[in-house]
Amino acid sequence: MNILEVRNLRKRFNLEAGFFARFGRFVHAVNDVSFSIGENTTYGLVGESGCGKTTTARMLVRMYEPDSGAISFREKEDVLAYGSRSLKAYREKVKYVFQDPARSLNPRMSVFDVLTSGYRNSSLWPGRKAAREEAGAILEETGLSFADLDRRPTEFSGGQRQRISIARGLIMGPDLLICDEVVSALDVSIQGQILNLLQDIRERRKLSFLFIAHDLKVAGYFCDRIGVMYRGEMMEEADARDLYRQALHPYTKLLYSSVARIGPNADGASADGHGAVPSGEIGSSSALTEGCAFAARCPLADGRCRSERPELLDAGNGHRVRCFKA
Amino acid sequence: MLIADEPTTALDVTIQAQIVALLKRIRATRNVSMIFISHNIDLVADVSDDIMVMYGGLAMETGRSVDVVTSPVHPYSRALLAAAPVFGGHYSLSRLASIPGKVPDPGDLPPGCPFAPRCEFATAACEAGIPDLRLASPQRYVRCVLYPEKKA
Repeated sequence: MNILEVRNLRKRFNLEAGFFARFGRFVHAVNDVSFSIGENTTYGLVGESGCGKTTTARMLVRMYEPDSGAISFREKEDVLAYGSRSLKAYREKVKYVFQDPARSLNPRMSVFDVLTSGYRNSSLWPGRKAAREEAGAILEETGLSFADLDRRPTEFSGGQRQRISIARGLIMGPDLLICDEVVSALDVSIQGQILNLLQDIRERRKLSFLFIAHDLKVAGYFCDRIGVMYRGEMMEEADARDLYRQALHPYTKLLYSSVARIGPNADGASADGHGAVPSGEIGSSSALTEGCAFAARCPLADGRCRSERPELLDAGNGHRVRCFKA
Repeated sequence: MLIADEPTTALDVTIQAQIVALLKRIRATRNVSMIFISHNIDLVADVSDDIMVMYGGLAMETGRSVDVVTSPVHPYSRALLAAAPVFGGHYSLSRLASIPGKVPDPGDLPPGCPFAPRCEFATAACEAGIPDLRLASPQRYVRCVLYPEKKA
């Protein structure tokens, strides 16, 4: 069963704000994105800054309202039709773990208050004493200790703060955890600890994850399935292990070949690529181009790519790609 | 001489590749030397001829980049390279070799080898004093009690 299904999600933001804003200049942050997350699986969204990964994830918990599209929970509930009461219950089942533990944890609150601030206003609140036991147990599950409940987030290192963030995500027993770049700001040695912790949690609690990352090695290691986004569109989607072995989209190949490598790992994706350094930068997505979003930077692009938008088509084995040339 | 301190750290990978290519071009056309500082060891090894792995304010291992990255000797370099996921790795195949503990506070370093509290090979000798940086093999210097000096 799919825990979450997303169909044709779109979101655009007005570039100008305020009373005198001229209407009609938009950023198409997310454009026609569809994917599903199976039960007890991990779906990865990868792509570079501004590709729409975080906007997509925030729409899933309705921090942003999509302009159009559909989100269904457990294949039956329409998330976009929820009233405030059902939305609150849904947000207890789908928790968001933020990117930056230094800024997403209130430094004036104790760890216990940080962990339980949402819990306290929920229908699940068991009372302060029982909640303290639960919060302490979850801290221990994430590698901290019971006594840390009374300390403040600023007393902890970056990796420990990310453990607190994860504990906060787990306290209401969610079904799906949205992890937005949770290891990006951490040192390599600490990143490994957090990834192993998430792996233990995934096994123990049979959780599903939406895992947002810009690091292809981390995403390829941790995810079951990966969607590659570029300028708000899903360019390619495949099982994590297939994507590394056989990237089809020129943009995915570019991403793989851009990663520095040396020594025994210096083969693979870069060998079949063009070796040349990619040129150009990610353009603004303010104007919807008629053709493929990647055409301006793509070494293979021709007239058709610039005038006609390719569809996301199945290339076999559940591998989907949005490219005329693949 | 150009000192490039984390010049690509906040950049996306495709832009990072452009900046690295630019630095390599500058080095070749202007004939300058470069110190390239980064936390990304693969990137340092790609750009540099020689590499120094630092921890707690000390050089732990130095050598030719390719040698250090392909056959690290110091327990810290080895653990650092093993801790990062690699292409082709997957959680269903193997667990990441993580380094326990946390990076030491530079104002409150442990006595002796700064890596000793996190090192799986640490012995009492490691806490007795900071080991010297010794020649371990041709062009390779290592600061670890496990590697007594060899004749090059």
